[in-house]
Amino acid sequence: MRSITLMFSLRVIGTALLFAGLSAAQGTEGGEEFFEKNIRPVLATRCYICHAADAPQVQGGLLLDSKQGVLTGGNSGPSIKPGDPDRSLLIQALRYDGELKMPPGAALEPEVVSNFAEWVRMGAPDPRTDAGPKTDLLPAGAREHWSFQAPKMPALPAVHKQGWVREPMDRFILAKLEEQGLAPSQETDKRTLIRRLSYDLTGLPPAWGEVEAFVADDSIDAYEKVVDRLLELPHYGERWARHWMDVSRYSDTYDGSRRFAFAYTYRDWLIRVLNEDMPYDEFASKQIAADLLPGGDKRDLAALGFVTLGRSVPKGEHDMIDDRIDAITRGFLGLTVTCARCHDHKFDPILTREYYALYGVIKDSPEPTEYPLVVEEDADDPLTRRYQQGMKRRLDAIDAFFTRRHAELVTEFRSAEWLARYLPAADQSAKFNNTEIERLSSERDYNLFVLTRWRDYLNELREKDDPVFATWRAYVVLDASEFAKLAAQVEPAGNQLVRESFEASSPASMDEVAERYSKLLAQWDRPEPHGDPEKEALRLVLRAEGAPTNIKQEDFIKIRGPGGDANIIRALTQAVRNWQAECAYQGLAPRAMAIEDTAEPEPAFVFVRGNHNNPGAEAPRRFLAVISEKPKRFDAGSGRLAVSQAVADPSNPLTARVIVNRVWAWRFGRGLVGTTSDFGARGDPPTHPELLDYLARRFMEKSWSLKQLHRWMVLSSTYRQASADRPDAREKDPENKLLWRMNRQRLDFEALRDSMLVTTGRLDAEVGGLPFSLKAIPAVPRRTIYAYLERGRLPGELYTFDFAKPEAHQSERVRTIVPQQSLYLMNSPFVAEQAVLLAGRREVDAEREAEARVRAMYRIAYQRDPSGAELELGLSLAAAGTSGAEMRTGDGPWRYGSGSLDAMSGRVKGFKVFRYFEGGRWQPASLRPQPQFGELSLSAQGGAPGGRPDLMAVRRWQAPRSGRATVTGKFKHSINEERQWSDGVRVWIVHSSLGVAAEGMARDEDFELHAENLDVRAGDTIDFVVGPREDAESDDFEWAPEIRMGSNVWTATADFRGPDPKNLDHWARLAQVLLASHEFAFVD
Amino acid sequence: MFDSSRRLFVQHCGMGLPALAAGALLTEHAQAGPLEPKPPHFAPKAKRVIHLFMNGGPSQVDTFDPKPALAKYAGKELPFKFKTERRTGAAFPSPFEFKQHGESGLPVSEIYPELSKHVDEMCVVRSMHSPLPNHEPSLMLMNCGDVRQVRPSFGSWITYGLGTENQNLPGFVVLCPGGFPVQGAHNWRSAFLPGTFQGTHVDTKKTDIDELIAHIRNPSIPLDEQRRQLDLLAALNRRYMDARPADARLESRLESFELAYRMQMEAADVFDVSKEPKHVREAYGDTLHGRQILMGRRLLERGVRFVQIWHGAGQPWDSHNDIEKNHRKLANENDKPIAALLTDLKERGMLDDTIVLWGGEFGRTPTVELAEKGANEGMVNGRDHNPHGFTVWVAGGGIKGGMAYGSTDEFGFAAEQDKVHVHDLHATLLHLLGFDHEKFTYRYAGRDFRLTDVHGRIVRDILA
Repeated sequence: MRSITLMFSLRVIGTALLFAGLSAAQGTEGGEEFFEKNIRPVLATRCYICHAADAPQVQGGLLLDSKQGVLTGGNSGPSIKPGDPDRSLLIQALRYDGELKMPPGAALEPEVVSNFAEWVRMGAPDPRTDAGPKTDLLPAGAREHWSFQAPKMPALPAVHKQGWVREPMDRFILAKLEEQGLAPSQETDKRTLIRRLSYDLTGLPPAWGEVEAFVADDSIDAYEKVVDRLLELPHYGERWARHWMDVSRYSDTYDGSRRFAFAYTYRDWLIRVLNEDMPYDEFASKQIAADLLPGGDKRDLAALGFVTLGRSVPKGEHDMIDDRIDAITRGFLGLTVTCARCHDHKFDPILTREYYALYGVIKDSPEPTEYPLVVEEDADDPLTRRYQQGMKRRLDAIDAFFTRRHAELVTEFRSAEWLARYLPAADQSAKFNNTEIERLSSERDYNLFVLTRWRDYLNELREKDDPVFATWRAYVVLDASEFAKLAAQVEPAGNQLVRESFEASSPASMDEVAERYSKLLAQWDRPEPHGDPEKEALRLVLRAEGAPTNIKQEDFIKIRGPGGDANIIRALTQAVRNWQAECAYQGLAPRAMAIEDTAEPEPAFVFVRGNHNNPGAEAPRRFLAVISEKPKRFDAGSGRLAVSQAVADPSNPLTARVIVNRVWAWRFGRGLVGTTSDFGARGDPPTHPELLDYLARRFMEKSWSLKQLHRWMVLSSTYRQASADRPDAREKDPENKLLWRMNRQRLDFEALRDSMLVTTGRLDAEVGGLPFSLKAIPAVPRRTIYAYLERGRLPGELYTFDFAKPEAHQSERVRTIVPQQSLYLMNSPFVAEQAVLLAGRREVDAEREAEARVRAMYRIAYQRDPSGAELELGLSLAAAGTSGAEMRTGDGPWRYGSGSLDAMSGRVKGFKVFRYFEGGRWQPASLRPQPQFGELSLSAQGGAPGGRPDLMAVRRWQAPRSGRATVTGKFKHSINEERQWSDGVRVWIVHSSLGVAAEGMARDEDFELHAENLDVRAGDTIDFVVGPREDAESDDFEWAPEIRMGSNVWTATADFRGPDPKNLDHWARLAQVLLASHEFAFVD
Repeated sequence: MFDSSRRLFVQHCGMGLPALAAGALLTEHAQAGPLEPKPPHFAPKAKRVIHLFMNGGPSQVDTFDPKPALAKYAGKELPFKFKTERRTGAAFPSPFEFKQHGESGLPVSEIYPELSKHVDEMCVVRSMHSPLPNHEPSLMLMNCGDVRQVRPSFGSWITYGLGTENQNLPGFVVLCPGGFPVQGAHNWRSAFLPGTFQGTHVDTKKTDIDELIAHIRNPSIPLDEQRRQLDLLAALNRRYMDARPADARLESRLESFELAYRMQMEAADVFDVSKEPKHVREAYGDTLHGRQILMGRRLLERGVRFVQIWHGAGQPWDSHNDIEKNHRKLANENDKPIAALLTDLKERGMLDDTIVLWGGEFGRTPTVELAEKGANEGMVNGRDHNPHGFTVWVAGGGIKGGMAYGSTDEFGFAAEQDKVHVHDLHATLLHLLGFDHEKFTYRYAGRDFRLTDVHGRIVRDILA
């Protein structure tokens, strides 16, 4: 079985664990009497308080007030097994001898408990003929909370100040203000307005010329024209995609540096469809089930990144599913459904079994081994071919490993030694519930799957007349304290070989019984049948279809060893995902981080108290009852399509409200509902409920258009208000919940960084594509949305500036002001670089007069002219004639770059210095690998060659003087499970005049590489060259050579360093001050 | 004007914990000084914490929990065994000798000769236990109180709850030489708490100040000239503020540049251990660990709330092989520095209100780890992971010294008497810091979260 999906999908541990189905035995009349006399009164007085339909809070999902309720059971499964009190949860609980103890506090009187046991033994006769549990899962009144009621189109409120109203929404705002005796603020000035609008719609500042044009435009629709223009810019999609990426917890890796191969295709999908103004209902449903919806634009498969691009850690499948449920439910519905993972939601009407209903949906929606293409692929492209070859090798390795280890393990399980361990444990656990057997297997190191199979096997045998275990059954009932004595009286029976083994001497303990059985079973075990029926019966215990040790290969994952096996499987699986990412980052045709329905969905079960080793009742797949009153059971596939439809259904009271409120919050700084991802009982009530409903209804009526929604908001008078303080209004509404003014906003990190790039005139306007590294020097002038994001390991400045941490869905950003932010603005190479570039812009630099330079910088940075006082202040710093600071010299003897070795001449040709420094490496692009360059890079200790023969890594040393040089150093290349497919690298030491001085080849080895007594003249170079062999897989190496010339020593490691800091002249220092200022960072 | 808007801030959101505990208030409006010192729920015994993290898992039976019974079974199977990460075999007596020390007579292994002089300060908790035998979840539990979910670290909680005493330094500093431990920055993450409460990681193997803390120094503009830049910046910002009264954020941001400016000096100073007198440097020892533990004390002394010191990158204490050699070497590395720290804190009167916590994410098996292909072929002289029972010790900050609390079974495999779960340890330390762990919450995703989740028992017997 291919099990690349292992890491990302899962199978519930053996359905065999579950309680067997049951058929309710019919009670006799006497039985009914017994029930009425001994059982019903106790149920009514001691149990109904928590386990009846009208209980204040039903516990554990269990209803005991109807026959059906007793049989169906609660979260832990059926409460009784008629006829078998020992295996009935209810009885175990009443007996107080298991995990579950009921009623809480103290056990019932012993005779009451034995009455219950007797009743179950009788087949649990129950005359109650009531209608059974009510059809509605939720208690009455559960849907009374405002957000569970469908939004109603409210009447537009009457207001006094009619003239202020531009958009219908203004009436709602104004009515509340007037109610409080407050007036709205006046309209802000045009400069402020266009700056505010530009940031809100595109995340970028307007150009100075755009501001001037708007100020000069007296036409009545001047503002509308700007709004329309901005909404059509591709930057609109970039800004709003980033907002949504907080909700969808976007990151390029699932844990640390472990990459998703094609995360960027989801990000680019968001940008595209937002720019195209895809209706939000479609936007939402595609992110849940694009693969199942009709339509068939395969580009839309990328939308599924919403589900997949979350947190995932090895061995953390349940948490991964939890994260996906959380993103969907909080993201689209504003409901904290995952609170119901371990118990029914404490505040909202969401049941644990509903959580597991969704759990089932996600569980059966794993990621495919191969991600689907979103564009046509060129099958002849060399990278595509390499990719496919690499995939085949890796998948074959998984298959081979599974086959081999499965065979080894199953052989072990049939050995006498293993049988002797498992048989007694299986006997011991005969009456254990799931939790208890799980604990036993954990504490005593049994494989849970195998132990459970043995346990169930022996339990079944108890009820059958099986000759092999006839003797076993005779011993197993003996009292352990007198075992030896009693055993002597037992007459071995059944299978002849078993009999013989016990007739010679009687066993001293049950362990000894198990040991003899084990020996016997192992002795007659062989693949082919025995002719002798007695032997054959023994052979079949281990080999028959369904025998405890006849484990199918597809169940290998359940029997794999915990140490070595798990590590190897993880490494092999990882190797596949790594390979996909490696090829993706090198430019493989884009694919979608998709999911798909499993062929045969398996039922999902409640995990009692969230413990996945303790499955309880089945949780039929269906949508949340709080939203759809009589949720239908999903019967097609995983149910994901139905979930997507339920989310996008116009009758869903939450979906439209939640998104309208999010947009409001991103726009005005605070949502109408302050808790934008919690519309439940513990969330904030809306400040303007009618406005929220109005917007939600109108939004749905106007085909769920987000651009339309933006227009309503930004065209409103509410939006156009000044942000200035008004003490009188502040007195009445200090938090500005009623919006008597616009909120002044501080730029988030993306807007701040992007704005700096705008001031340098270098912002790269290209939309979409592979990510770049934010840590690279020089800076990559792309918008911050394209920055490479490692989950749990964001670049430091992102933490400092309160960027959304992708560990989980994040609805609102916290906004702190801490000195580390100031340190970044004062001291980071990025800001220094932008300051130098701003001061060096032609518009600034070409001005001869100092005043004109200051003015030019103001226009670029603030889109306005400086005042007289500001000019003077600016000039004071510029005129101070600050000296250029001391800089480290940039001319060490080492250079880092690429080139190729010319076979004819034995010389390096085409040497090209690397442009970027990132994470302690010099490299040609900001992030590795890259489409043209592969992993090409050099660090202090080593490096990696590129993917083509002409892309060798070249560490160049240039002789500062003439002399005789000796080169030493250890070269090392290594492999492991994940990189076993490397074919190694080739290595040379090349002298610029003498040619190749030493060479070698390495695969998983290390060796010294020397070149002695090389004559060098000043200016000669010695190159340390590493190139790929046939292919460039896992070619990174360690090699830090050392060069000695007389008493001088140059060491690659010690001499290694990054780029020199920027030298800021006084104009650049002024520019830096402007970039660090309040005015740059705030939008009125 | 400065004062009036500061008052405004106070009016709007109140101060102290009740206001902070409502997560919704952590918005830009209220967030003038998230690291300002704040009082906890009740008068605390301890004001700061230094956590000496023996990552990898030190062996209890080779350090502070002697088990002579192992000698009886040397080379033989123990009568009982627990599930471990890898397979282990026969009983493996400690290769080290234990002696009793101090007035309390607590036994300490010979590998900690200096530290053993301080047993009367220490409460040795021998009955620690946790649920899982793997490093990753165990690190998460010890640091963040949950094995898998993304929860804030202990240090983040404390910094969130108490703020910090020195605004020129981060409130929560993590020292680790040579890179990251396993799980990296997850160990000191702030999760859903604001990013400012996250631990600031400092690689103590580096010596250059600007390699220690990001952007702590300007590489090309000298301080006096940067001062001129900041004066101009302040002038421009004041002009901006004058036109926009009553916005506390503008004040805070203005101030934050001054704080940042001072931070440059303070941070350079705090990590420069050469400023300590010679006898102090000698007491700690001129080694990597001597220097970093001394840095830890300098940070505490300057008001940093929570210092976590890791033994090294990766998992140095993970002695699957050669326990005799490895544990001796590891203990030798920090024996003298930790002893010096305790002496030093005491002499400065800081031990009384500083919690010193020593321990790993779990302990090690009293049985010998068996060789396995691909893991430790040919070696049968180490111990496997053991979460069933392990030891940590706590000193200072309201802890009763010179006592051992709880015990493991006769072989040191599992905690038996007075078991202390990691949640219990957290609850107890929070108590010492003045918090009711059940009420110290943060609202996120519709629910109030705690460091101790729904668990935690205060171990009152170890409180002084």
